Amino acid sequence: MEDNILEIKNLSTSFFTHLGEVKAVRDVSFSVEKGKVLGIVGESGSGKSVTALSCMRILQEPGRIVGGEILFKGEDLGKKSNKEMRAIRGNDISMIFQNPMSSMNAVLRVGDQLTEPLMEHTSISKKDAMKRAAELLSLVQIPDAEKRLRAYPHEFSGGMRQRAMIAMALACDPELLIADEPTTALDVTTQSQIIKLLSDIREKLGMSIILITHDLGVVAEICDSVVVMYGSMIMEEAPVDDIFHNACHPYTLGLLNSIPVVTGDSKNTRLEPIPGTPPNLLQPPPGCPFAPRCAYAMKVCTEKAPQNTQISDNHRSMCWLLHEDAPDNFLKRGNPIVR
Amino acid sequence: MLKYIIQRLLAMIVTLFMIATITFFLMHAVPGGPFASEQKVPPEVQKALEDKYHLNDPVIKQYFDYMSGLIRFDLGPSFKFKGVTVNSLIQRGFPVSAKLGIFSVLAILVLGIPLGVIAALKHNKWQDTCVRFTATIGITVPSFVIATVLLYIFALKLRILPSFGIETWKGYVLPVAALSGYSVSFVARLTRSSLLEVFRQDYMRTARAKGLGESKILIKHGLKNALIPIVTVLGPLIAGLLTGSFVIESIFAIPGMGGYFVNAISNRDYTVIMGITVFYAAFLLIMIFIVDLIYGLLDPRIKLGK
Ligand SMILES: Nc1ncnc2c1ncn2[C@@H]1O[C@H](COP(=O)(O)OP(=O)(O)O)[C@@H](O)[C@H]1O
Ligand SMILES: [Mg+2]
Repeated sequence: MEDNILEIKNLSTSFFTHLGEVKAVRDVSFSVEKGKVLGIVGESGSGKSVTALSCMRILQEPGRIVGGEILFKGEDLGKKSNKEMRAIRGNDISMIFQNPMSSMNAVLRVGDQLTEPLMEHTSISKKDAMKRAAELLSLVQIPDAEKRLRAYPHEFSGGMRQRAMIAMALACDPELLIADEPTTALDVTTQSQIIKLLSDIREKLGMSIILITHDLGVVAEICDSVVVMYGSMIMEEAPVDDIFHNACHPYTLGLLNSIPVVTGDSKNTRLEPIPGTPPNLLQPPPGCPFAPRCAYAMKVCTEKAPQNTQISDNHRSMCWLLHEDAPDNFLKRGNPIVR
Repeated sequence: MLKYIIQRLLAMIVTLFMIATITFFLMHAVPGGPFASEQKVPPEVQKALEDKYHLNDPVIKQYFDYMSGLIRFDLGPSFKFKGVTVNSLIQRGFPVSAKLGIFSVLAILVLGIPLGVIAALKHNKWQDTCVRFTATIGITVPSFVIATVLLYIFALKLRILPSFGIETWKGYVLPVAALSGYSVSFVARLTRSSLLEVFRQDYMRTARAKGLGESKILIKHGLKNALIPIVTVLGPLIAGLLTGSFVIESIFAIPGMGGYFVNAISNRDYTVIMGITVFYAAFLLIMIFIVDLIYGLLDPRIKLGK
């Protein structure tokens, strides 16, 4: 399809550890539209990072992609040679990570690290690369850019480092930016600044973004569509409005229920985390991974994996309750938890 | 920076002074003296000898006499080698030991570090197993055993290398192998574990995500970080190698510092013990200082002098 920059089809990734095969991503499919922001949400350990690392093919041992296709502009990245992949990383697809403190190399100057993708992917001179790096730092609103290039990462604050990481990712004008929890390690004020920056940059440069987060507030702010992951599988995929107003999966509803709500003049904060713990991915349950924690679970949920139910054109959900044979169709009842 | 260097130099002088003082009094606290063991010497002669070297002065006076010499870099005469000063003893012995040591240091750099890198790159493959196995032997087996085995194989059985003396380059092979076996193994193992640790770091993933090649990631992002813990141990290791090993030097009949030192201790050759101790300590302090300077160059988070 022309409008999709990235299409993931039935991606499965496992870690082959001494204890056995950890199924970190199971049969995940989604696509990212050109110029749009796709959010991936889910509790930690649900397979979001591994999905992203699989797209870049930078999984560390003992992780391996065991199945599926990763179509970037129609070409399967899984079939590319290492050399071809290297030419794509940091150039067509780039990535920023959760912890800006440890994601920069402490013994190299910021300027050195910023120019690296440019020197790797273009035939620019070191001097011009430095000039471009200074522009990039200004783009991510780091003042005094030229001087900052000579600094070391430890002289930057967390927020500034994440800005520098973003600048680094933007160096070669990528078509797709994968941001893996870019704000999780930052304080609240800095978080919203970084999100604002990402959304400004998207507007200015027009690239597509995959934004991984477990913060639904961030999703509401900048995402166009959302993938909800749990226990290494996709539970629900929908446009952002549908996620907030027409969620169909009990897990999505649970997530929505666990965000603090501020209404009108009286601050009414309500926070209800979903009880229970995520499944063991060494031996994932045969049925729906969420079934043991699901308040609406039926017998079939623990026995057979749920099927995809298409709610509308671009809204799908994986839940037995949505099956036509389910008692008192969940959909017809509306959202019992939220309402 | 200059202020830091001056501070460090002053601290080194104070440390040296304290080492000299402690060694001096400990040495004198041990019963016996340089001339006590020579039973054939009549008591008058022994007394005369002791007088000549001021050994019958109060210890405190001897101490001040010695220290005033030390300040002028005069380490005094040897009691046992008649007419030889400690300075000339060190001048004679140190270059021999140091030459052996320099080859051993080279062995660390061209064998120890690369072997560690290979082992880390081939983690859990046969190359890694080989390096780990050899390094464990190098660390656990004492140098004199290594020396003996090497001598047996290469000098006695194969007859391709001489068993003693350092007249030709061939003579260096076995003593250097025996002397550096431990250090090379230790550095190889440290390099391996340090690199494996670095491979797990987030910045390595960042480098990979930029599309850099594996060798560039390893050299530019990996090695510089992995070297930091290695440099720390390199200082004392190098100091130890350059100042010689009595065992190796006596097995291979090499006239280095180590031999002088051990003889001096059994003979209570006070000035030689003192001289070599102070020299060794000064050398070690200088090496540690150099290591700290390199450390500061490698790791910008370390601010020297703060
Ligand atoms: N190096 C690894 N070895 C074994 N298992 C791993 C490794 N990295 C991740 N996993 C497994 O993959 C699962 C998904 O991890 P991840 O994608 O990092 O979750 P998150 O959604 O928090 O980003 C985790 O539950 C973890 O058990
Ligand atoms: Mg993660």
